[in-house]
Amino acid sequence: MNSGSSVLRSRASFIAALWGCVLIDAQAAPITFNTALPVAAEEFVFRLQIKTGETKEERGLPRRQVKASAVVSVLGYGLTPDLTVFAVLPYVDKRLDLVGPNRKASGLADISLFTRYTVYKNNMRGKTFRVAPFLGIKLPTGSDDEKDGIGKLPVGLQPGSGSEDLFGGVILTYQTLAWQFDSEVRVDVFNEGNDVEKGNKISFSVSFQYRVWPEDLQEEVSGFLYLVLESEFSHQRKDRFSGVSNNDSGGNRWLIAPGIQYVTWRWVAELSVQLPVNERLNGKTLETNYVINGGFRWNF
Amino acid sequence: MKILKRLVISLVITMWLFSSEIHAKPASYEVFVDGIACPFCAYGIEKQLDKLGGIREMRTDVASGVIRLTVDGSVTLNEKDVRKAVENAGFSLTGFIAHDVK
Repeated sequence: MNSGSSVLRSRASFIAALWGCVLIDAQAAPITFNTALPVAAEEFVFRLQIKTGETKEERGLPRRQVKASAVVSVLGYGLTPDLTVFAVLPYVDKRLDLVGPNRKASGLADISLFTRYTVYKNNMRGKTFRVAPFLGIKLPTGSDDEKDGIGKLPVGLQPGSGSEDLFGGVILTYQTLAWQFDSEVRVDVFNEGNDVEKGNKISFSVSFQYRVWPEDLQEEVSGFLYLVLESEFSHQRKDRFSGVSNNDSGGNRWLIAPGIQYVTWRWVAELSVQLPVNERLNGKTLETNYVINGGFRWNF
Repeated sequence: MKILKRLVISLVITMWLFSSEIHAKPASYEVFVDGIACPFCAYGIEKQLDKLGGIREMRTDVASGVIRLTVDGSVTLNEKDVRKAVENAGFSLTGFIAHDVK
């Protein structure tokens, strides 16, 4: 495996990590992952999220940096008070900066479909506690054959993966009038697409949202303003290219995301920045510099 | 003459019905709900209650979990339907009080 293809393959790992938190549902808080709060039966919730991020720039030769952005649309529908289905469709823009001509691609990425079911709930006055497992599939609907003047773009730059992948996990949510705590354990199982099989991944995320306004709750309230702090720890196995393990992929990441969220009756607006606390990545895999997440959610 | 008679009777009945409608005293209810802890979730309950029909005014006190409803005079809500609406939103009904209901 030469250094050029090694560089390109480590790009694929970063982009995979960046999009690891793309699959989000449409309910209120947290910002970077799911919640177990309900979507009412026969009602819709829509979420639009804009994400942009980049790797840390490695100076010297060969210079390499990845920048990527996405607009993610999520539609949730309550089949019953406990069973909700979601569809997630991202539009991505990816750029690889190397010595020589830069390479980039944009387009609709793979669509994801998943379902979430509340297996336990305890409603109390001004509080609720819920546990909800979820299960989904990512379908290879995005383009995986984009080309530029040089030729076919590397796998990590393609909008689509070319593979059907499975994911699932469980979410726990405890919400009070003053604060909310969410946690999620999630497993991603990746299959082979275009001779590439991304390493399976397990992640553990927590989110704490604290209401800072209004200080005292009156009968008439227009909205809640929350300060948010989220944390994600993930472990990903090495990718395999044509059955051969790529030593410049996989590893452990720990990210934190401070943020802010304003919740009204019909809509939610939110913004957070994911920053690396500690990354122990294999080989030459590029580290995360930051990922900015901004979005809106609508009840309709 | 017969036609005129029928017309007068129809007019009287229509006026009586209309009069009943506008002079009927609206009824009010208090619905107590557990699980509400933010405005976004409360809106889901309001949409489910609105489907019951006849709701003139709805005010949700998120802090206390009480929803105060005013309905048309010709509408009567029952606890069973309200409980179903609250549960469809994913929450729990803990109390139902009717005021001014004939």
